[in-house]
Formats: sequence, structure tokens, C-alpha cells
Amino acid sequence: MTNPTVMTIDDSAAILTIIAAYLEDSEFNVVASERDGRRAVQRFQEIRPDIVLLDLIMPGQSGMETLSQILALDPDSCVVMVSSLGTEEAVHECLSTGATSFLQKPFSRDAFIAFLRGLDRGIKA
Amino acid sequence: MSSMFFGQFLLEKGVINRDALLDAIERQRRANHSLTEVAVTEGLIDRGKADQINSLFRLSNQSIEVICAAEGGLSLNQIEQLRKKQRLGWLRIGTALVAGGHVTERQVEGLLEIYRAREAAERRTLEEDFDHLDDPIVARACTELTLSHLQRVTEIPIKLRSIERADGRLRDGWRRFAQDILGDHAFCIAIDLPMDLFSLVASKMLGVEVSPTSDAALDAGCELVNLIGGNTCTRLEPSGFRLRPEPPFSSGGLVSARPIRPSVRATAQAAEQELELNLFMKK
Repeated sequence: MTNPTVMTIDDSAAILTIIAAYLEDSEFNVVASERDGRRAVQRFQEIRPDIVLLDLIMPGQSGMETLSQILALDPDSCVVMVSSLGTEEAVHECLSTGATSFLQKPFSRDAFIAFLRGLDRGIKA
Repeated sequence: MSSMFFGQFLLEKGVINRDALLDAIERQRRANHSLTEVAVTEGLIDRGKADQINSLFRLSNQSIEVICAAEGGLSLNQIEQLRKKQRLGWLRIGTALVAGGHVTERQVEGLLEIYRAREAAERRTLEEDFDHLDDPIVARACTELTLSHLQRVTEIPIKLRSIERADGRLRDGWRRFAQDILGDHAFCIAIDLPMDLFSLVASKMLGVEVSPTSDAALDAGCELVNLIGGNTCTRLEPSGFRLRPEPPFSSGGLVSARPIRPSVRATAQAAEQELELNLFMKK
């Protein structure tokens, strides 16, 4: 069985670095990291990762627009919105648009990996 | 009004000089050990695991105890025993000053009493200062989250010194990281850091030493204010606010080009360094 592949999309290079460090010794393979929503959609089309971690608040093309475009390409894709904004309104908007889940920052490595494992089990079930 | 640590209070009173304070801090640094260091000394974890736990602690919102249990495999009983051992050997600043021959025990006892009374009075004044602001709920939420996130990242005790109306200016040589918050209220959160403190924040967030002028460091500063801004919106939602953060930015770009406007400024102390939070309210 192959390891689940992960694509991270965040305008913050710091967050991309932290997530890569969190997943370094785990079973999850970070196969792409993008800082721009438009480029991320193109990259998604090429590599079709198992899980997409997508920042909500991004300059230029927003996380919500990026989410819609990814879902238009593949309605079954697993997209997790990641944000420091965890208001009920934001969570509801993301989930009703089609995001699989929502993860509020900051989070520990332990909780993050446990979250991804739960998600992966759900995908494979 | 201002609030300060006991060592700074003694310095201000002229009881000790700067060299004496630095000597006492160094004595504390040598004598006081973190929870993970105590765990290494007790043979419960190795150095590599301790570094890993410390690194995760800086990046997460969980307590060091929770991370020690999850990552270090320590039981709650073991952690409690480690905390007891840590407290037993803990050197306070007053004791460190006595050990260095800078003050007498009697002086420390007397001054500590005055310091505690003054601190209690200043805490009350700080609360009143918040209440006199136009948006005390917003100012309290932003200030508390700024201090708690900075303390978590830097592992330095951070103390609020004052909250007041100000001119919103960024101090020379400092870095500003800001984020506009929009919605039924509109304001801008700006975290102002001196270069040394900013350098520490960036290095701790990224887990590696970085130059404060590097893009990676600026990005880490932006992520810090992004955490504070997003969490502020979340914190204020139960109070009826409907807020949404915009992408963060740093000084040297958009901030310096903006007109300087009146702000609500919270000044805090992180060890020897000051930092500021400026809130620009948009009517």
C-alpha cells in the first residue's frame, strides 16, 4: 500500500516549512507545496494528491476560490481548509462549499498527524 | 503607569545596577532547568527527544506537559515528579541577587512586599485603562492573544506594561507585522518588534537560525500576526462580532507607505526588551 500524498497550499513559506517538518518522519508524503492559489490549481490537476491542505486567507486568489476550482476539477478530492480563523461562519462556509474538513491553527504535530490519519482512514474506507 | 518584573523594579529604585541584574539573570540561567532538561538529567528521555519536544512546544498551542506525555512517553505521575524536582531547585531573581552579593536578604524581603503591592495596584489600573478605551473587548482580546502567542513562541515571560492611546508610530529600527481585520468592526493589528526579539521569534517559529532580514524571517513574522488576527476573530465571535482577517504584511512594504494614525498601544516587556501592539481602529 502506498503512502498517502499531501499537497500544501499556503502563501506563508513559514507554514509550508512547519508542515513539511511535522510530516517529515510520518507516513505522509508532501508531494507539492504552492504559495499561490492559481498555480496550485494547475499543480493539483497534474499530480492529484490524496489530501490537499489549503490556507483560507491568501492574497490574490483566495482559499475559497481555490477550493471551488479544485472541486470543479475533482468533486471527490479531499481538501482540508487550514486557518487561524476558526469562526463558525468561516467553518460553515468552507464545509458547505465542499471542503472535507477544517483545521484551526495553531496545532501540535501530534494532533496534526492524528487528524491526517483519521482523514486517510475515511478516504480508504 | 507601568508593570514590570521584580529585577527591573529594583533597577528602577536604584537598589541594584544593570550589571548586578545581568549577573543575577545569568545565575538563574545556570541554575534553573526546563522540564525537558530535568527529564534528561533523570534519564527519562535523551537529548534528541528533549530538543524535539521543545521544538514542538514552540510551534503548538499545547502545554509542555501534554507534549512530554505524547512525544516523550512520560506518564502524568512522572511529569508531576519532574515538576516537583524542577521547583525545588528553582532560583528566584531576589535569591540570585543575594547569592551574587548585590543585595541582602532583608532588603529583598522588604522590597518584595512593596513590589507586590505596587503590582496589584497596577493590575487594577491596567484594567481601568482597558475600560476607558472605545473598544475594550477588542483591545483585551488582541492584547491577550498577542502576549500568549509571543510567550509560547519565544518561551520568555512576557508582561503587559501599559495600554494607552498613542500616535501609531513604528520605532526606528523595529519591524512591524500587521493585519487588517474587516467585518462589522474594522481595525488593523500591528505587532512591533525590536530586531533582536524579531530574530528570536522567527528562529523559534522556523526551528532554525534565520537572518532577521531574510524573506523566511519576514514570513514567520507575518504568520505570527496572522495567528493572532485569526484567533482574535474567533475569540470575538461569541461576543457578537463578525470579523474576517485579510492577508498579513510587514513593514518595509505597505505599512511604511501608510499614513500614521492614532492607535491604541499596548506595551509589553519580554525579558529586557520591549514590544508593542498597535491597534488602528477604523470608524
